Amino acid sequence: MKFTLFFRKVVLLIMLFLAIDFVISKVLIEGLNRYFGLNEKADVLINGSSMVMNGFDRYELGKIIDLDVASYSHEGVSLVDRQAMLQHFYDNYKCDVKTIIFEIHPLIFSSYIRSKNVYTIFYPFMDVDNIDYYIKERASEKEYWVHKIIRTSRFDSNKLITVARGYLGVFGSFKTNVLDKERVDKNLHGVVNEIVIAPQKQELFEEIMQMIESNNSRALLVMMPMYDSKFKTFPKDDYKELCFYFEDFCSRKDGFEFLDLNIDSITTNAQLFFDDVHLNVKGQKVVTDIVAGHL
Amino acid sequence: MLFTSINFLLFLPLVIALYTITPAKYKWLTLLIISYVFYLNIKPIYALLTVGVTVSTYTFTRLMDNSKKDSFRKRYMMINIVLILLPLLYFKYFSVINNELLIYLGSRGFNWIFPEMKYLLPIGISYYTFMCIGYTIDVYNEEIKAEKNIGIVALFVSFFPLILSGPIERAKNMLPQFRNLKSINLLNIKQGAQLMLWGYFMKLVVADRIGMYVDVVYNNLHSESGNSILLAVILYPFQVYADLGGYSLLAIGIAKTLGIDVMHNFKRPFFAITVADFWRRWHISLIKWLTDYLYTPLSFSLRKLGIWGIIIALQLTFLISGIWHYASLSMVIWGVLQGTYLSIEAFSHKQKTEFENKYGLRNRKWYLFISMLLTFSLFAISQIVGRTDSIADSALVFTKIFSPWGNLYLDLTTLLFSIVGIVIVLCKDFVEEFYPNSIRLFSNTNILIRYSSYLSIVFLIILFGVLDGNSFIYFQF
Repeated sequence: MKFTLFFRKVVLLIMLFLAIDFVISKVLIEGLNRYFGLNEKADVLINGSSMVMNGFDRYELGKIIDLDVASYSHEGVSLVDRQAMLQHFYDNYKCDVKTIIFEIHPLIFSSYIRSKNVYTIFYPFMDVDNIDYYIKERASEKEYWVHKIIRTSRFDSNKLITVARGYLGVFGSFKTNVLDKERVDKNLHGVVNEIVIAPQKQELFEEIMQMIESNNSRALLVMMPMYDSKFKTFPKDDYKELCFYFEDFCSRKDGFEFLDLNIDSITTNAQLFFDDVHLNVKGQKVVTDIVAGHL
Repeated sequence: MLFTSINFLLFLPLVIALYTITPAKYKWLTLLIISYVFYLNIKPIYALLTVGVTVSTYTFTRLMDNSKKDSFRKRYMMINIVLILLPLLYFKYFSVINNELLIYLGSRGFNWIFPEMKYLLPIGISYYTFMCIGYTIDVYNEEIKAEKNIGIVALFVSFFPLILSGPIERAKNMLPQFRNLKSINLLNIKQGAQLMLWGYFMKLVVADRIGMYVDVVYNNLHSESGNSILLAVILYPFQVYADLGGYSLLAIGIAKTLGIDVMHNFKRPFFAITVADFWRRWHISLIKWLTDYLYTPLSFSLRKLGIWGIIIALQLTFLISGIWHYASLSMVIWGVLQGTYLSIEAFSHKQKTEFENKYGLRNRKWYLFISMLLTFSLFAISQIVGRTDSIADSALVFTKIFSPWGNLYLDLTTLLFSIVGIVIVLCKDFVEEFYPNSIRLFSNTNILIRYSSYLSIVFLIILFGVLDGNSFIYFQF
């Protein structure tokens, strides 16, 4: 086989690869946008971690309040990640979003890192400047350039499932199991979780709220419910102080509200929980109804 | 540097480029340097072992060749075999037994004379040790002349596509190729790349994906239910096949790009209809090595015992095979199980053949299918002891499977992708087994079909592969 012919075939193959790579990535991005609700006009945006992913059915919420609801949330995200998500949303999706439902939990201001490589969840959105910058700061050079050049490598199996759900319109939770009350109570007995308020995290939170305000959105800060045994691992006084901080913060902002869902009717009902911090399908319906009523 | 890493994908074109520009006379030297650079990148100190094994093998094979007396030749052979076995015995077996004795005696209040030994097993030691033993025996049997160039012997020991996890090649095949290394051939590069592509698919899309389910279940045997464990037991053989089979294809493909032909290591094992047939299709290089250098001489020397001689030879061969994998009681039991399966087949071979011939069963599809299922099941059962950390855990697996079941561990994404991967691999194997050359994808003359096949596999790897780096199962050997 002559070298020039071989070389031409290799070049053709690479060009074909890049072209198909581009097309597939566009199809996959569209699926992701559909799943999050970012492909259409959104009146309400839910932002948070797995607690809100399990806590809200955005489609059902939208039906109740007769508004379009998007949910840009992901497991393992911290405040820094959520700042990038909101920035991404505001910069790239031309929506006049009225309300941001912003997840709050007792460890929101702690410096505990939930996931070291959570930046990988943003790979599909690498074409956006602020996301590109965000990833570049965290990923290694090699990782960054591989994902930059090969667009389909930005998607892993979990994202592919999300894409499929986006195209199939399956937004609800599949978590029908109920937590094992005895086992959870036994495991959490005597456990104490400190509520730490790291000043940098507090500042970051206030920056995020400022971003929401400057984009003319309201904010509903929702303290997501957790199962009673887990809730009791947080010192009562510290929890009250944290809630007071949010109440006080919201009182100084026009259009900002704080809603604490750690109420007895939810937290003591094990039937609503999949595990100690995540709601199941039943719990999702209860919380969606409460927040819809509130909105 | 794993073969599945980005670093290796950048390393290989450099290797090919360097190899291309080297004059033919020195191509072996380029490959030798590259092989040592590759191995030094993993654990520099253990490269000394490969040097030692090389020097010993070269010296004693040359001595054998230059000696006319058989008793001397035999002595040189035995000395070399002992010398090159010593590091393997020390790192793989002595340190394990030592540490076990330390714990056992310590728990009874006794002191043991040696301290705890914490060594990483030198990667590839099981493979290159066997290759050198085979070479030594071949020289003794005058099947091959001893290589005069120590560099070629060094290359045989350290050749980078093979050193980590085989295939366990023969000097008869490799030394002549190393002596006459040819220029890069574009056809070889194409064929090598095709093999590598399928190897990457098997490893990244199938093996690593199945591993995500199997590892979770096996690491939580006490809390998982019997149905989850049963599913993991069924999936594990596919994981090992895709892992070692995929790796072997990568090694063979890499060698092919350099114009070097290496033996194939798997031949559609899940279509075997007997255990004996299975072992002619699974890890072929290891089984062939054990057959040629252990089983055949043993069964010959025990031939006067008739069928019992064969059975003893089988048991010993697979016992060695078991402990070659791992120095543990579990692998001894694994080896004994394999030997037992084969012994039962040997015992009943005549009657079974008569029965099959009488009813024409070998032509019946349902009979072949049941035979394949049975063979797979026997292998899957034996792999339980291979996968678990202890005999107690193996017993727990069986207990749980035969106890009332609870909730199935349902990682839907992983299971779905695993099953799709297994189906693709089995379909390919099925076509090759029963309709060879009927469907050509990679080697189709139509450029559209060829390119579509390449790109489909590439995108399957990118989208469905586990790309965050998983060590090959067989690296630990």
